[in-house]
Amino acid sequence: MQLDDAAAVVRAREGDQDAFRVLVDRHSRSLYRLAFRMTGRAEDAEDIVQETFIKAYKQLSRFEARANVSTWLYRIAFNCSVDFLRSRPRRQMVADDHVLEGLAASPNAPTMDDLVYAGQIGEQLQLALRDLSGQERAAFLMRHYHGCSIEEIGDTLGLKTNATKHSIFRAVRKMRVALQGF
Amino acid sequence: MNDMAHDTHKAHPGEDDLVLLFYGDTDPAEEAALTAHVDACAICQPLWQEIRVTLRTVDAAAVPEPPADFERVMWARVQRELEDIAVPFSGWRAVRRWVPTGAFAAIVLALLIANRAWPGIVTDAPMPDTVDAAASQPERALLVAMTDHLERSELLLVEVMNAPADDVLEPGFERATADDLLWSSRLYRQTATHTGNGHLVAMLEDLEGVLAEIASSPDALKRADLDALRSRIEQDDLIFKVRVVTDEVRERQKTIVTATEGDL
Repeated sequence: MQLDDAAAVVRAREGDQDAFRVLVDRHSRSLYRLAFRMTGRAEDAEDIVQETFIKAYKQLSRFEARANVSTWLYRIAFNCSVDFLRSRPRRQMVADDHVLEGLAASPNAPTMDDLVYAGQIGEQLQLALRDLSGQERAAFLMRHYHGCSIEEIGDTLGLKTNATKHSIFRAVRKMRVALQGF
Repeated sequence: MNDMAHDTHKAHPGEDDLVLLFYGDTDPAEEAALTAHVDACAICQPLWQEIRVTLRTVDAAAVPEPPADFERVMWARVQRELEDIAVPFSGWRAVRRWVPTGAFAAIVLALLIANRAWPGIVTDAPMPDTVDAAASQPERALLVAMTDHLERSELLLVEVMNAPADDVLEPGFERATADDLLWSSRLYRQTATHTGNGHLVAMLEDLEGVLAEIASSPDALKRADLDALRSRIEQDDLIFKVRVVTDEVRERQKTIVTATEGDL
């Protein structure tokens, strides 16, 4: 029987590192995408994924058996990303030069035109995201890419419902301006 | 916005309302009114279209895939850090890793009998506020063993509840684990019965019923049998009960550890 997430957490809590590795293998890639969108840099995204798993390991005993493991990891990753952005507010957020090379290496990449187009949007999106506060960026990305509810976003970011909504509204407004022409 | 919902001809939704509409964050009645308004309103349509196009364009933005060996590299990075924050194993836990569950329970119970000490957790009596460090050693041993037993039981129950939805399950590993846990559970229940903890006895009886079913399951468990087993676990709220008792045992452990450290 394949070890599912909840069972892996229970075993990892007992000190079984192989079980924890199951979680790393299963969720690293999606957490990387999240962290990349938050930071715009591959190296920073990798650091955030690593930090996310280390924090998760330390918090294993606090994980509720009925909760969803990926949601729990996303929350930790978002918080790590927000902390990262708060610590480096002026950081350059433009996508790395090798973004297109990375995209070209993707097995699902359809055509070069698509890649270039997606890469251009990606760069423009990163520019737009750079102009958002960490809070706005996290709220927008959680809602848009990860389908988190307003309540979940508020819980994760420590915001009230109205403040959460307004973070998303401001983010969308800035996106509209930044992505005009695409 | 609420005014607009009541009278779609007098007010137009704002940009924020349309963002909520896009993400499905409006309540159903309001959503119907908004959609009807936007579909019919020449003023709102362009803004609605622009918001939709913008947010769909965001979806087209690509994120570069990390290298093929990303997971392996990430695990190497994480594992290095875990060495410094390894889950602390007590001496008893270290022993437990090498001894089958049932045998370990028997060892612990033998020690308890030898010391003629019965721990607070297996009686219904209130926990004392103070703990005698010397007298606490046998109790500490039993608590560690019980925590281990309960955690393994919880793991087994979670695995059964989350087994893949195949037509037939081959529960070889689960069956062997359940058999081992069943044996030790009976020992703990007998102890709890002897010391009068009805709460613990009841939980262990429920648990043993399920463990016995798993332990005696055939080589290929049919989907219907697995569903019946899951239904029993759910109806008895067994995972929750096991976790409650585990938390109680852990709390008791903390009390003892704190008291023992205070005596040093």
